[in-house]
Amino acid sequence: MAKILLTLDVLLDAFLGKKETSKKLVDKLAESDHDLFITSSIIPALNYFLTKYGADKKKFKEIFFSRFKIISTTGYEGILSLDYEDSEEVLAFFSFKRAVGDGIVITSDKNYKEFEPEGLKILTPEEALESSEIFGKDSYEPIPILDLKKEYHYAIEEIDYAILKSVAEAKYILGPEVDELEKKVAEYLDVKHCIACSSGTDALTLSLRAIAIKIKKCEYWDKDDLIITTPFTFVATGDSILRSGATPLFVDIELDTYNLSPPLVKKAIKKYGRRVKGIIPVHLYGHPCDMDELLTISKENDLFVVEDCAQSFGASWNNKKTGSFGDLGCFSFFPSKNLGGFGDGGMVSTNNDELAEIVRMLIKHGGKDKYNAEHIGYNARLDTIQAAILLAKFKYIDKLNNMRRKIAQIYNEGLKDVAWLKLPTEREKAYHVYHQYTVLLMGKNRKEVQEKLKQKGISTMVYYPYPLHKMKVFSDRMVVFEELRNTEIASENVLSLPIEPLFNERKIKLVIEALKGC
Amino acid sequence: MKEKAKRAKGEFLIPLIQGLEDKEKITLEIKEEIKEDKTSFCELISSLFSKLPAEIVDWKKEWQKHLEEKYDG
Repeated sequence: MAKILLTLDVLLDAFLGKKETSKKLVDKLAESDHDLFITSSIIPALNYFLTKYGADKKKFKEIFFSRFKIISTTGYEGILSLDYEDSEEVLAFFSFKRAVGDGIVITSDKNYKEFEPEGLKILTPEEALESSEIFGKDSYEPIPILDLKKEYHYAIEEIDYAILKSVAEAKYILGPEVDELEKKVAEYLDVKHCIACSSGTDALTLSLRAIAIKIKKCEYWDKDDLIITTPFTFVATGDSILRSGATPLFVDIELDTYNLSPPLVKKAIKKYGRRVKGIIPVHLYGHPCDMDELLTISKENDLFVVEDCAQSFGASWNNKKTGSFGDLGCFSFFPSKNLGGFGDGGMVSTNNDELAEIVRMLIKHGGKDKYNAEHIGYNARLDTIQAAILLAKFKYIDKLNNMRRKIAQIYNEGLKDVAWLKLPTEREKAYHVYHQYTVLLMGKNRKEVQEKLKQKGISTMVYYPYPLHKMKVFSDRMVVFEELRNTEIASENVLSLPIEPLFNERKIKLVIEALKGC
Repeated sequence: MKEKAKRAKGEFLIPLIQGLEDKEKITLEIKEEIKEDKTSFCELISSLFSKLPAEIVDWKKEWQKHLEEKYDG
C-alpha cells in the first residue's frame, strides 16, 4: 500500500478541467487501498473554486476527506523551500516527506522531474497510471502486526492541531487537556474519577500503593501479603506487586480466554487464607475476565480488586466497561494500545473518593500541596501533550475497536476449519476489543509457522513467551498455586496475528491464506 | 462480470440458476456481464458543484485572474 500525495493541478484537472488522464487516475486511486494525501497549502485555491462554482461544502468535506488526508506544512519547511526557484511544490514535497516518509508524489508539473528528494518518487498522472508500484497486482506487500503511522494518518489533522496547540499554550505539566481527558474517560467508563498518570505500569503500582495506604495505613504492603494474579501477562502486572511491597500469588488461567481462572482463585484463597489481600485480574488481549465470579469471590473474602485494563480500553463485561468493576482500574496508553499515545501514558479509574485522592497525591510526589508531601510519592504525571494527542484519538476509539472486531470476524470465518488452530473465544457476556487476535497452535512448531509467515512478509508476535513465574525477577519473591499448566501451554503455543484496525479485508485474507498454507 | 453459479465436487451450489444437476467432477462457472452503475469519485465530486458550467473550466486562467483581481490596488 503506497502513500501518495496529489498536487492541486491533478485534482482540479480531474474535477474542473475534466482532463481524462487526471480523472481516470483520481478515480482509480480513490478506489484503491493506497493512502492519499494533499497538503494544507492547496486548501485556499481549492476553496476558491468550491465557492465560485457553488459546491456543497459539507458534502465535499464528507466525500473528499473520506479518501484524502491533509498534511500541514511547517515554517521550517517554508524556510527550506526558499532555496528553490519555485517553492510551491517543493514545500509540499518537504511536508509530505516529513509526515509520511517514503512515498509517491503525483504532479503535472514536469519541472519537478529533476527534483526528487530522497525517498520520494515524482510521477506525472500519465506515468502514475502506468506505474506497477501503484496499480501492479503482484507487488510485495509486507503486513506488520500493527501500523502506527497509518493510525496517525487516520486522524492526522486533529492530532497535528492538538500537538501544536498544546505546545503553544505552554502548560506542559497538568495542563487543561489532562483534566479534560480524565473527565471524558471517566464519563466513558461511567466511574467517578480518572487520574491520568505516566504509564500503565505506574497506574498499577500507584493503585496498589493507594490501597495499602487506605486499608493497611502503611506506605507499602508487607512481604507476607499476597496479591493474586495471572502469570500469563506482561511483567508489569507482577513487578508492580513487588514494588508495592507485596508478593505475587500466581494462579493459573483458563485456556479459552487466557484470563485468571475464578475456581482456582477460590481454591488459592482457601489455601492461603488471610494472607491474601487482593486480586489483579488482567483482561488479556482485550477479553474481559469473568467479573461476576471474581467480584463475588472478592466480596466473600474481603479482598480488593485492581483491574489490569492495559489491553482492554473499551471492552465490557455484561455491558459494563472494564475498569469500572474493581476498587481501581489501570489503563495503559502505550503507543500500540487500542487507545495509544505518542509515548508512555496511563490512567487509574475508581469510584472511591479516598482512593482517588491518594492516587492523585502519589502521582505528584505524595502531597496535596506541591511542597508538602504526606506519602512516598512519585513523579508520575501524564504530560499535557500526551493528553492532547489522546483526546484527539479518543473520539475514534469505539469506531476503531469495532474495526478490530470486524477483523476478528474475518479471521474467525477464514480460519474456522483449520484443525491445528484454536481461535479466540468471546464469552456471552463479553465485549472483546481484540487488542490482540491470538491463536493457539496445536501440534505445530510455532517458530516454523512464524518463519513461514515472515517469508511472506507477515509479522506475528508472541505475547508472552515467558510466564512470570519463570522470570528471574520473581524467583525469590512469589508464591505459585498448584500447577500452572494452562499458562505453560499458552506461553509455548500462542501466536498473535496482525490486528491493525485500519487494515482492509484483503490484507487480512492474505494472512489467513498464508497461515492455512503453513 | 458477475459470477452467477459455481459448482465443484462436494461443494455447495448457490442456486442462482435452475436445472443444474449435481454431477461429480463438474466445475461450472456461468458469468454474466453486468453494467457497473457506480458513480465515480470524480463524478461524485463534480456533482457537488451547482454552478459548474457545461464547458471545461480553465482553472489555471481563472486562478490567475482571481489573484490579479484580489491584489490589484
